[in-house]
Amino acid sequence: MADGRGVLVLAEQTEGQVASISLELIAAGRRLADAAGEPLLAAVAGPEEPARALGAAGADRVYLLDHPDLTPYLLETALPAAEQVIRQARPRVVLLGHTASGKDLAPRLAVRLGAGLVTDATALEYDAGTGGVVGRKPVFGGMALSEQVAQGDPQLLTVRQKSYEPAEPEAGRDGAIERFPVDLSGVERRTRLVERVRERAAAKRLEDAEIVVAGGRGLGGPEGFQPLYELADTLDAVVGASRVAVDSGWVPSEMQVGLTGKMTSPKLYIAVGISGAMQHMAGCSGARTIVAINKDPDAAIFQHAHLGVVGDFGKVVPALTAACRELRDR
Amino acid sequence: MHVVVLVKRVPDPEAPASLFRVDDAGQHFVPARSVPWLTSTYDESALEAALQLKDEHGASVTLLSLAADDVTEWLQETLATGADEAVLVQDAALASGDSFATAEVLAAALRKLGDVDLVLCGRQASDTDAGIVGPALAEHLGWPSVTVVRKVALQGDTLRVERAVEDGYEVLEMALPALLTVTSEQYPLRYATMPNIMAASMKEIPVWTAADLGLAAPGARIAQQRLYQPEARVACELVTADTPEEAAAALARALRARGLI
Repeated sequence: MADGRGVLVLAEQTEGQVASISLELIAAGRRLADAAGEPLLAAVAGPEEPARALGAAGADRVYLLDHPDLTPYLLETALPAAEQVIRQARPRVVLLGHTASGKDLAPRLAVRLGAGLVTDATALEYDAGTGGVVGRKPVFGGMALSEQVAQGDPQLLTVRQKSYEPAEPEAGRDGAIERFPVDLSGVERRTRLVERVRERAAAKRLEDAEIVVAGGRGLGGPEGFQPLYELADTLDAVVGASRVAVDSGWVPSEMQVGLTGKMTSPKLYIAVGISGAMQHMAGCSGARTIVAINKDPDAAIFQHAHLGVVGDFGKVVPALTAACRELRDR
Repeated sequence: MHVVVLVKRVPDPEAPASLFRVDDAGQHFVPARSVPWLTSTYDESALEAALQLKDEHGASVTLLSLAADDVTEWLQETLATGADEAVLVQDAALASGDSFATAEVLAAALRKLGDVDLVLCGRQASDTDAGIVGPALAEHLGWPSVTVVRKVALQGDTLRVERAVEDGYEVLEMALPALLTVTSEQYPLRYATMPNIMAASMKEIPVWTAADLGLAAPGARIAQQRLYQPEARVACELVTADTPEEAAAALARALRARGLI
């Protein structure tokens, strides 16, 4: 496919609600489309509400992918649907979220289309010289940044969640909605979705927390997290963990902060007993202030933290909790 | 049942960032000589998942790796965890390609191996962090694939997997052959045992080249314009005091002064 035109967002929805990442892609896509002087397109399966929301948020045209087997999401049907709408719409650039479905779909889609792909981009820039998009992404666990250009037509990119602010819907704005029938007759069905289980605790989410208290290898075991829970309680914070703490079975995986865990952007991130490996820092580098508490003065974390205490967390953290409580109650 | 595990040898991603530098061409991230090379983190999880299928179902496990150099010694060490065979595709031109090129090479290698029921690999390599090879390879082979799998189970000829999604997990069933990319939490790699170390040292590891696979170097689908290290951070303000309690109090005051608590 040569001479593509426009930016196409492959959007996600659940039960009629557009996913936040898709609105973030609309925002990013709008900037790219405007820079190129080309339209912003979107494609989504499901009922009409998500399509209208994408239009209200800024898509010029929305393809409503039409086939009962497209929801709930299944790679086996999503892949041919995406391929068909891309061959029809002929965009220059296709954006997907670097989400569970994006990770599944994008590489296979790229192979099918003979296209290139940049994954987990945290920033996108339109290159007027080549008419293409440059994606910046972390590599080596976040130790380095790579600026990459997908070769071929179209250019595919998956974008990390929360790299862009979601586009706001505007009253009275809408995109042209086009019903797009998807042909799944040639698809050999070999996969079945048995169930989807929600694990999200009722409590606050790490990604949205203003203050995060995170623990790592230095805590020594699950009981090491107890002082952190108490500190978090006093500060109205959410508790997170490094990959080591999760892989050691000390805390559940939903608490993991890092390149392959949750991305946080709090005003305050307190890292306790965390060495400071780059793949962890990738999950908290958005924090306005990072505090490190670690008994090893040479720990890499002190090269990333704004404030630090070298000491035994077992003594420092309870004392910090008491001091914060005292300041709060003054 | 024959399981193939894709393994990649990488410089230790937990080594301090100061031991790496970007080369003059601005294209490669070069580790210092002191940085050890080891198995990519999530590939270890894929290997453990395969070894559990061997324990539970008597599957045979073959390691497959693409490298520019002779990495037989590392493959033998990795075999010593309990895998049965290993195959190395050693070709500098093929190994220097992007993720899509790697997927094409591995697809050719798997076709040459033949009789493969399941391919497992890590969810992303510790150096590229791309997560492309697995699904791209599945597309070349025409097999179902699932990424970020945290649990694998076999029920007869049906594969049942748990896949991590944003707010929980999905349970999927599919027919073999299939490809899964694996995440780490439930699959810490076991240590090598003495008998397995002995057995691995006797194993012959076939080495294939591009000619053996009938492949020319595949075209590039990803061009890297620039590689750089993020800016070094400003110095950390260390809060010091005679006792941990005083340091904690001083820290609390510093946080209050910055309007953070």
